[in-house]
Amino acid sequence: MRTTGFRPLAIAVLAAWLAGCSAIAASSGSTVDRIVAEAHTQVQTAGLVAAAGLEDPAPTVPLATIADDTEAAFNALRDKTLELPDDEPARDDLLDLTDASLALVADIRSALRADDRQALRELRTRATSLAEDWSLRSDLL
Amino acid sequence: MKRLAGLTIGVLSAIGGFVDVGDIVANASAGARYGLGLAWVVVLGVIGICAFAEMSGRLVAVSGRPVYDVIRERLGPRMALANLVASFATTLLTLAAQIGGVALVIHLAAGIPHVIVVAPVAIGLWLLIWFVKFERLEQAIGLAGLAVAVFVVAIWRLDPDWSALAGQATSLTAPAGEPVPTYLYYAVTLFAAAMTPYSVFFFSSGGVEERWTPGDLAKERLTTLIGFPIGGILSLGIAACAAIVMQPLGIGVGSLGQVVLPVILAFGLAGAIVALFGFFAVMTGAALETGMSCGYMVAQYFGWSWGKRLPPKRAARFHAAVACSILLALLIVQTGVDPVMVTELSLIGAAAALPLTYLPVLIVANDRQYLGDRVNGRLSNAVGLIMLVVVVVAAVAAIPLLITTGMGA
Repeated sequence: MRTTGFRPLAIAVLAAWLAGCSAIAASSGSTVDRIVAEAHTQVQTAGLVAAAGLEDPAPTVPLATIADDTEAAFNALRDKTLELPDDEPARDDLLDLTDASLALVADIRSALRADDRQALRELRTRATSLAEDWSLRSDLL
Repeated sequence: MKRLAGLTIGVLSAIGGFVDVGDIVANASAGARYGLGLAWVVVLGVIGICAFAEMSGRLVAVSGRPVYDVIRERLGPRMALANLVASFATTLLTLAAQIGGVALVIHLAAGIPHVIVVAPVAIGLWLLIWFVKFERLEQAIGLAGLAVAVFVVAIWRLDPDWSALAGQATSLTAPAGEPVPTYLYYAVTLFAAAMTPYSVFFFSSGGVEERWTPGDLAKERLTTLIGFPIGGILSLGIAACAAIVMQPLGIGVGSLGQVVLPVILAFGLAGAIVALFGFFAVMTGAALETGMSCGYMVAQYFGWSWGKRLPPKRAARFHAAVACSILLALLIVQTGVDPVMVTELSLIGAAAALPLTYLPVLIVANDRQYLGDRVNGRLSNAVGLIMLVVVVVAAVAAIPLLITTGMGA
């Protein structure tokens, strides 16, 4: 009998505990924060890919694959940004930066395939500059 | 001379066998975020796995029976069933993570989308388990896994700030400005990566497969006490590389490609080849271990004939359980879910299930009915009890931390 009474109570406590955790999770960090943080990570990764492409010889296939993954991540971020409300002040700015980042990744992939070291050096600098732009957005939020 | 060679191979296999996709992802993520600030967790995890693997190995060597079999007899079918359900679910998820990890390595090496290679990887895995002898599997894959040591060598090549790394490694608290729950989430995943439950089942069942006797105890202890700590050093090498390259740039590691980048920056093409080969080996090895562990658990609980020392015809249900587990894991990864996410979930699941694995081991290791005079001494019990407290705390905290931090975001 005691076991029968205890079970609903245990289930209720567990449910309340999980609901509490979910509420805390939902309240921590906005979608824009998460987009900016992920974009910053991806653009810095693209910069590292450009730097690694300067190695002689460079592992072109793995680096191009990492660039593909970075591009896929930016496409997903673009979709998330498009889902933001139209009145979100950062929306257009984020879309511009995402497009610039996508162009950077495409250029890095082309430079890797062409083994164009000069272009890779310039793209590395461009990646650093874009990462700073993303950081600036992060600071403004 | 033959015994020394056997011991060396055993230790080397344990080193390579310690690292799996969970260790790789957890250490790289923690390294990128906290530098070596969570190195203490890896040390704690290595102490824990050494203590419990030693107990399991001793039980096998003395009683000639695997841990799971003894747990069922000693604690009864209900407790053993709880253990089975929790451990099997976690191990299955871990198997899916390893299969996904192998597919990701092929994706990186050849540029083929990982979902295309998942099925061939799973079939290849099943064929290996079916056709290749246990010792050969364990030794070849364990030795190949040593290639992961390239991360340790890369640390020197990356020319880090040694004093900064040392300062991080001796820190025991969350860095200023970092949320404590997120720091603890990473700590729990790292701890679970070191103490994955399948290690105990595979280690003890492997002991039965290799017919350990009390005369093998010294070898078993040395294998555990040398192999696992050196495996821990390999894991810390991955964390250190991420700390040196990723942390200063604020990169959060979310893909296997990012993990390999520091080695490519250190050694170029050669580094990429060695690192990817090492990853392929350790993940294939871990996939074999988890796949076989699923079969071991189920077969030992239900009292079926089991093991690779028997012809498949005589252990048909064991092989069927292994095949079904691989199929289920394949289906999980084939949905297109990110294997890195599966890995993180498997680590949290493992953390939550840890007490169900390790409490029975500690109980059985103190039972004279099975171990006679070779029951735990004071040191083993002290270490076991302290680790059990840590295991329980990690288990209770795992799921709330997963939810509140949004998977460590």
